[in-house]
Amino acid sequence: MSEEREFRLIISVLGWLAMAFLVFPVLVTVLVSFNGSFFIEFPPSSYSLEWYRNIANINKIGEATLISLMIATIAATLVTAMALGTAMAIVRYDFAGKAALTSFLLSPVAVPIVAIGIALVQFFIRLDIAFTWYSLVIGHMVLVAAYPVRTIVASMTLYNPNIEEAAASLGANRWVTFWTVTLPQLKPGIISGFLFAFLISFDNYPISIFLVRGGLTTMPIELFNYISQNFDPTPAAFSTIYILTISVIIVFVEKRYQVISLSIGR
Amino acid sequence: MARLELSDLCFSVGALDILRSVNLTVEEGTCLALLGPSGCGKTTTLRCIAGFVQPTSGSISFNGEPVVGVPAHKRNVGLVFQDYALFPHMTVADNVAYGLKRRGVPAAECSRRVAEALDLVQLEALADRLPRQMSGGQQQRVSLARALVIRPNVLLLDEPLGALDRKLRDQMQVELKRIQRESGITTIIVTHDQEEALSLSDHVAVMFDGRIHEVGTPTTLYREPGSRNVMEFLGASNILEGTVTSARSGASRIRIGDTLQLKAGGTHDKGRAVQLGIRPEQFVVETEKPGKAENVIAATVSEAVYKGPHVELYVETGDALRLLVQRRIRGIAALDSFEIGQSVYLTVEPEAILVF
Repeated sequence: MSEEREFRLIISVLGWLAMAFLVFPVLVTVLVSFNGSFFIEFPPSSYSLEWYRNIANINKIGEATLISLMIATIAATLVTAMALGTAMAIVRYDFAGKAALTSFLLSPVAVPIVAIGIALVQFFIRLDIAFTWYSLVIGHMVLVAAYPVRTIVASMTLYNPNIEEAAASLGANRWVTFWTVTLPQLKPGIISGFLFAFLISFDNYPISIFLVRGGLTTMPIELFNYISQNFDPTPAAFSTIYILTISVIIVFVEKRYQVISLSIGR
Repeated sequence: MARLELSDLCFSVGALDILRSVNLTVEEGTCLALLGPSGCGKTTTLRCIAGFVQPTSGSISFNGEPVVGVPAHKRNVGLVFQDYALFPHMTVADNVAYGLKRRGVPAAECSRRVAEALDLVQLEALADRLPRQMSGGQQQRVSLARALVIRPNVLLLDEPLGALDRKLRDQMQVELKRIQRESGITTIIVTHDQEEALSLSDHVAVMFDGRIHEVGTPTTLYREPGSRNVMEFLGASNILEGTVTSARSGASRIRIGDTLQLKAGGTHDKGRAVQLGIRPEQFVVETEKPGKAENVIAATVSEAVYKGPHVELYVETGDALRLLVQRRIRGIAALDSFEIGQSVYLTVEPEAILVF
């Protein structure tokens, strides 16, 4: 019994340490954003909302954020739709080269992102579509493709394929079965896959930096440009708003769609 | 409701024959149990009827209409899976309504029929629950209601009670029987549990190795099985090897081993090697040598196992024949009266001995 308690104690200490390690930089960012002075100092000696007002002075920040939103939405939507078909093929069917396809689809995660960026820009230049918004979308799709494939495959392996036969016996053809039974069952995987893809695309810097020129720009690029030329805590203020928005979205999605069941199972 | 007929149904995967000419008729409104060991092809037969598997050859018909080639969703077959296969994202009522919606049944009639079906399985109070908020037995009944509500041609149950614990299984057996009788739908129950098969159905078809070996009522199959395999699969049995030594007027004498001679019903050819089947409960066990000398087997008890309503005796004869004997316990002292090593005398009626 005491061994059990000791074990629980050690586990919870380790857990809290890991949490602190992850959360601490975020807390610093939030605190710094309310800093009263011009220079980043920790802990702040005075507080103000000055840097929140200053966000508007980041070059093209509004336009860049909108472009990032658009790119991330399109890339994540297309990639999730493609991942749905891919995951079904991988889980349900046996075909030649299945193992190769599976590892190829998951490979961008293993290749350095900068390398993908360099490869993409050369490829787009050759196709003569470099530095357009759609080539940026394609670039981001390559980057994020693996995530929805993984989450949807996970969803599919969790669910009982008999329910599709049950639907068929009750009079549903393949198409109706897909819409009324298969898709609702895969919802947690689809939504978390979309969310992963969206978020990774939205704050991507290393691929975008190769694929944008001139008027085409994204939020992370403008933010980074600002950081490299200014020392004030404005980016911290922007990041605080960003972190808050994302957290709200994630909590909402988890509650609403039970995405959590993906990792734990029901 | 329909009369179901399978004729010469075959199914192979590559060189592997899973069904080898299955012939089976289930009369309208009756319940047939398809009984056999795992891997005998009973589930494949069910999947052929449901339309998930296309037979290699042979025919399936509902009321004389051939259905091979008709896709599963157009066969109007009710299916209950062993793991229930309820739609996890739908409430109980939505699960049951699913088949009606696919048939375009108007909303008012749909909700009336859902209520009726839930009433039949006594779950009307839980219509708004999700499957994961229910026990196994309740999920089982939802799945039954979902299959019945579409008024299927045939109802197919795949190991319906396999996932339930003992007590619930006994309750559900009674329930299932009532529901099948009340709905009057032609039903096939696939099971490997002989007790389930005997107690649930009007007829039992015993299947081995891709073939139906015997079809009959539960009583006939248990009392007068046509083959040793069927006898051994249905309940406990003793099988003895012997030779017919004489036969006259509806009875035969059969020699087993060196010293034992038994009289069995039926005239059999003299000199034929036969197998005798005796159910363990057919022996009368006595501790004193009975006055009557016919069909008495002297043996010693090698093990006595208490089973609640009866005691199982493992006995051995002088010829080293091992027999299993079941004796109902009537008095409280009955169990104590058997000790290991004790001599007992078994008597068996000639009519209770089956000759194969």
